[in-house]
Amino acid sequence: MIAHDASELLVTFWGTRGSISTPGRRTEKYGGNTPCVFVQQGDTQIILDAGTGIRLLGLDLAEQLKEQRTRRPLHLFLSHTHWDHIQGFPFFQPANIEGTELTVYGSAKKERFLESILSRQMDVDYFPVGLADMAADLKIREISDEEIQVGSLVVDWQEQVFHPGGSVRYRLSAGGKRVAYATDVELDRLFRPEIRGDRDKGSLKEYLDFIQGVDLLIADGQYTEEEYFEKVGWGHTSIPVIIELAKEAGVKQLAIFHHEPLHSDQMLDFLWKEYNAALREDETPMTVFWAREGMTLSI
Amino acid sequence: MSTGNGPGPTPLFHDAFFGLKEEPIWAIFQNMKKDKPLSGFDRPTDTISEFSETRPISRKAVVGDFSPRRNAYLELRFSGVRSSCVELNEGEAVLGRDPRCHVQLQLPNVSRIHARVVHRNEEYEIEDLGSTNGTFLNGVQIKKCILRHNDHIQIGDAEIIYIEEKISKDE
Repeated sequence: MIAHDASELLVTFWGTRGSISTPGRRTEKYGGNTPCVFVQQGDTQIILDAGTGIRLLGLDLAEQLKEQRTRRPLHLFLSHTHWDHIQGFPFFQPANIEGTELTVYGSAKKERFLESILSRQMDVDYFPVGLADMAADLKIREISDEEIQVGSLVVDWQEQVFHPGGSVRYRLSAGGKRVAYATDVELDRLFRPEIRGDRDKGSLKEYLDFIQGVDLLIADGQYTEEEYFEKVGWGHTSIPVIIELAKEAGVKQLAIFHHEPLHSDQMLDFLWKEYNAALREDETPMTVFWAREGMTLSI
Repeated sequence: MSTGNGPGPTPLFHDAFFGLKEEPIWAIFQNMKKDKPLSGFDRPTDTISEFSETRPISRKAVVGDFSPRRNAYLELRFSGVRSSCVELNEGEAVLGRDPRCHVQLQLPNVSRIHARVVHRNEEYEIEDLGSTNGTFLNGVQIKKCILRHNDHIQIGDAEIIYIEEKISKDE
């Protein structure tokens, strides 16, 4: 547990890897767990995605629960329901503790209800405990067009089109500070004139407006430029494109996220050095870093 | 593999999925709703081996007394040149200008009590303690972060490198 001021907005990365978990020494610095980010301000606790990183967050929260007399509600926002974003959910320990208030939010734009999707991954053929057997007071909400007020934080969101099956980006605001979480989207399809269609111009503006001036943007940057051209249509963004868009939108800090499973720590260190050198040269005030597990930022 | 009358998990199931814990395999589920019993979870482990080729085995039995240890150091640099080195132990090392700090940094822009390095879950973490000018890790202002070999820490005008060596107990 981190000692902090109640007004401080804290963001902790518990899982940063894309697609599949990658344990081992080659990935211990940036982490091998799939997406999970924890945002807290005072008693307000928001979790973004339930990749395998949520297991470790759950252990940490369970330790805190032992010390607390009152339990603070937990709010889990899912960007989408691909494996790497929900796989840790059955192992999230607070969901198995009676008295925990846990609300799960996700897109309504699915063929099946969100509850049905989550419960199917806990079918007896895949996991020994069913969703209905979890001890927490569990609510599942499909988000509507309204902003969502969660304690001291306001959450607004937009559907993202360029990802197979779709995904949702979220923006969390409190006390003049804003954090945007926009992973699993192929922004190259909007940004690169050679593959962009005319109909996509509106989507690009919508995206830039959404991230305009945010204090922290957590964004998909899975591929290098070279890798991207072998993976057009896979639903992920190349690093130079997200950096250019974030610069254009006046983002203060950019956390490159959803790391490619094949990228080792050494590779990510190399990319960080390469792109930071370029940013320093053109005197861009934006900080760019590769998100790593176990890192907490105060926004 | 058959486990007989239900999907009861073996200890290996627990080790693989929940890791870390030395607790009984399904202790994690003990707080579950009492009115919804789970088939198979309360079965004693010795009956499982009758139906399965998987033998009950504890993590300790596999790992034994071997536990990798790591020596960790904070290397203080002045104008890019190593000036001193502090070995970290499993306690807490506070960094700042105050003479009571474990690592005294009498340099501009360092707060009296600036940051600390704590040993937690077999890893070292750095945490800013509400300093005026912040704690930076590889150029990013952080509140807290697990440290990895060769991390560059900036505390005011102090430049520190985190160095880690992994060694086994036998060495």
